[in-house]
Amino acid sequence: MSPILRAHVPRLLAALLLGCVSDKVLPNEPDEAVCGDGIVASTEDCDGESPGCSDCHVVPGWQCINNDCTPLCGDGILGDGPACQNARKAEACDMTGYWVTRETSFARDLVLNEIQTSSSWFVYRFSQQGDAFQVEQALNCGTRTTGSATVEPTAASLRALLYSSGLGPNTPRGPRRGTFKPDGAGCAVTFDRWYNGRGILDTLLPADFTVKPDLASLPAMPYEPNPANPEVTNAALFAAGADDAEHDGIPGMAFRITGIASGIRNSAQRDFKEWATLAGQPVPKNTILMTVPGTWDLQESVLRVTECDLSCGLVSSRASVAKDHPPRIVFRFLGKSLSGPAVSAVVKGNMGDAVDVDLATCGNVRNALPHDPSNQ
Amino acid sequence: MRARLAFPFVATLLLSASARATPTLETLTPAGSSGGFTPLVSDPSAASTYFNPAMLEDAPEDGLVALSLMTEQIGVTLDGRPASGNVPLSVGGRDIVGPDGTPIPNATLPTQWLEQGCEEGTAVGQCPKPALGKRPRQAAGTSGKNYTYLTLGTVKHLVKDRVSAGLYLTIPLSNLMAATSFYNDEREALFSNSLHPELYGDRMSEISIALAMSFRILKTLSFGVGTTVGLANGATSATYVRESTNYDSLLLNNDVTVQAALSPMAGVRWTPTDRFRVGAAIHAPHSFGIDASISATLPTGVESKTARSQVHDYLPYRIGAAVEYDAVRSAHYTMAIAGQVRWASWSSYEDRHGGSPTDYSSRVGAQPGTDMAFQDTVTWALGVRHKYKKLAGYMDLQYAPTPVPDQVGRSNYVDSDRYGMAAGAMLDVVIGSLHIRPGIQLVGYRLVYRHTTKDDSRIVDELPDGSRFGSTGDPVPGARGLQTNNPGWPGFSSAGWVYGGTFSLDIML
Repeated sequence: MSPILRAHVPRLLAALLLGCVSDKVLPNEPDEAVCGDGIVASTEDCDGESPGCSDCHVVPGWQCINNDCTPLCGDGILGDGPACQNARKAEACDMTGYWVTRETSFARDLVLNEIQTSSSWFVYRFSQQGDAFQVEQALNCGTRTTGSATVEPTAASLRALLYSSGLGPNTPRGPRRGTFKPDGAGCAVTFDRWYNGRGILDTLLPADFTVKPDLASLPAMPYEPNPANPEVTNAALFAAGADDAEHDGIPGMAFRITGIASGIRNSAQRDFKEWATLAGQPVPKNTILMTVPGTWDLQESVLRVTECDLSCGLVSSRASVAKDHPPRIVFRFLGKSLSGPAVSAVVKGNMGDAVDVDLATCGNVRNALPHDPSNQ
Repeated sequence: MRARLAFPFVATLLLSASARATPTLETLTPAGSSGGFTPLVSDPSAASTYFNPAMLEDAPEDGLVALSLMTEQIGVTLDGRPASGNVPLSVGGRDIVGPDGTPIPNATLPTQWLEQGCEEGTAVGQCPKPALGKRPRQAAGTSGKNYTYLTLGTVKHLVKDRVSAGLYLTIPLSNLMAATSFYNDEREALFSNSLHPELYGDRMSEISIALAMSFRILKTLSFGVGTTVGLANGATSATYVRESTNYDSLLLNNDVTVQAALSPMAGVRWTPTDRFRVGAAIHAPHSFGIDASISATLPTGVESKTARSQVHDYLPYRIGAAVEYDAVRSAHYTMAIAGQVRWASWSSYEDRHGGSPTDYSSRVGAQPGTDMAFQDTVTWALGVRHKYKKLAGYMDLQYAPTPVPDQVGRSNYVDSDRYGMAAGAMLDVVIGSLHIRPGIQLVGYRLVYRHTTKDDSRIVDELPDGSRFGSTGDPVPGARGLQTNNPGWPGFSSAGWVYGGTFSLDIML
């Protein structure tokens, strides 16, 4: 029988006798989102009685974080009209007040050679005298890395990171300083180099950050993975400078890995970051949102991997700095006082007073500047 | 003598090796015969090789060739989904842990990704290269299939009135063999995101070979034994994954083995009077087994292996009995009535992934092996046969209850009760020394409408209440209530027809 007959005779027979049957999908039920019920559904930006929330969508010039809507204007922010269009800082080239930042850096994983994009969040309160500013208060709000795998600190690690950076004035190396000054039609920004350690003792960081030593010149990290010597005791790792700040009994800071592999990786990490606008490329004078390029370097020792079963090999693989992908920092100005509308919507209490309050603040910080998974 | 003969038959039936199955033969009804839905007793022919080998003693020596057309028009309709059941887009960020702190499994995808795909890109809500293709619900359904088959058969009396042999072979003309796997729960969302009739589809595309012999012990009593001959496959795939996101660079070595496998059957035929006939047969379980072993080696030196056994075309133990009585008999006309009843042990069913429907019971808090198990069935058939001079005809009715229980849980086995009607006619034509018997056999089944509404409490909540973002601890919007990509949720219905016909030519030898 020819292929044509084979294909069409049964179909013709079916059509003549009974007609062909086909599958169907009935229409989906209407979205159950109800504007006004106080629940922010997937199709809503907000759901509350606020002039910043209209028909469950954010009114321009307002911001709604966790269903708490606040105007951008006021407390050091100016805008046009009642909707606060073209929001801008009242003072030019001035860092005084509360800022949330997201540092974006790039690395290549050593398995697939793919770009891993990391966000590190901080919230700062700066003071500025003349052209110089310094950190008065700060919280380290953790990291998130995406790419071939997703890496983020565990809840305990997040808690341990909160005050670990020592950025304020009453810390051994603090405060972290910078400059913000007029540069042509805009402002030039610098934010001094700062070293961060995760899962290591402070002795493995430079005694004086202003000297700006390379990471390679610092004391050796606790344990560089060596296939010939995979069994190093916890005691040896602690003796070599590993720390257990999150108190899970395992040297290094715990990060949860998900994606192509899953598990917990305890690492010792140290890095530095330094930010400065390029010559001739200042940021706008009164901007409340600015992006500044920078430099960074990272060292990581993977000390332990757990909860990974068959994928332990992948979980234990590290990443190296992607030299061809420069990092950047985004500053977003909230306001000048803790009671200001935008600041109070994000910063839930005086920083350093209560861990749980500061963790809630950090959640808002990450929402205020969400992770950007772009690899550019 | 009988005891000595009985032993090997029983032993043969206990051999349940993976074998080529015969759902096609069961659905088509015997070719070139008035057997219809009572083939255990009616009209001995080459088809008796499979249905009741004891009847070969009474079949004419012949050579059979037949062409069959069969169409499967089983429609599946999925109920509309409420938006609250969608897995939200935020799950794509893989930053969500359940209330106990364990990450949401990677197999949980945002519902929007399934419906619309995920575009390649680096922005929020986009996916890394090569991104994810869309899998709209039921877009890969399998209704409206057509099949054509060629059937060959022969009967040879090796020792007159004592020993006979038969061969019966059905070959699909489109695909010689098809074995299509799908999951019957939420896992299928990752593949076709569709439901498929459980007992049709690829089960209708198979080569079926039956061999049998019959022995007449007494003038009124015969028995037969036979087997279907098929394949048991083994496949080993060893891969070296250079880049997990670019499978074009995959290195692959396959090692495939194909073995013959047997699945036995036996039958008996008793004719206490010349107007009354009794037949019975037992068929051992059939399946087409594929044992697959897969290993993957990664550049890091990590090697991962797994082995899976797939089961296709499974048919369970079937035991049936039938009677036929010549109610009217004259010089040129005979009218017989026939009936058949057949029990099938569907409770032992294995699905295409080698799983049992009872696997789903434990997930919903019920006793394993109870509420979701397939049920054994009893199929009934009644028919009437006429023969006037050289023209024979028949018409049968059948009722086959579905073995599939209501799919209110996470499983989605699609099937429903079936009513069948079979009819046909054959004419003996003698031209000189040539005796031929052209014929036509028609068969149709109605799968009655069946609707299932899922019980939400028995569906896997892929984003449990209390889920939160792992990095922040913040609650995940849209996690409240049930979120699932189970393609059968919140309910589905099915109904349809399976029908076709066979044109046969029997050449008497």
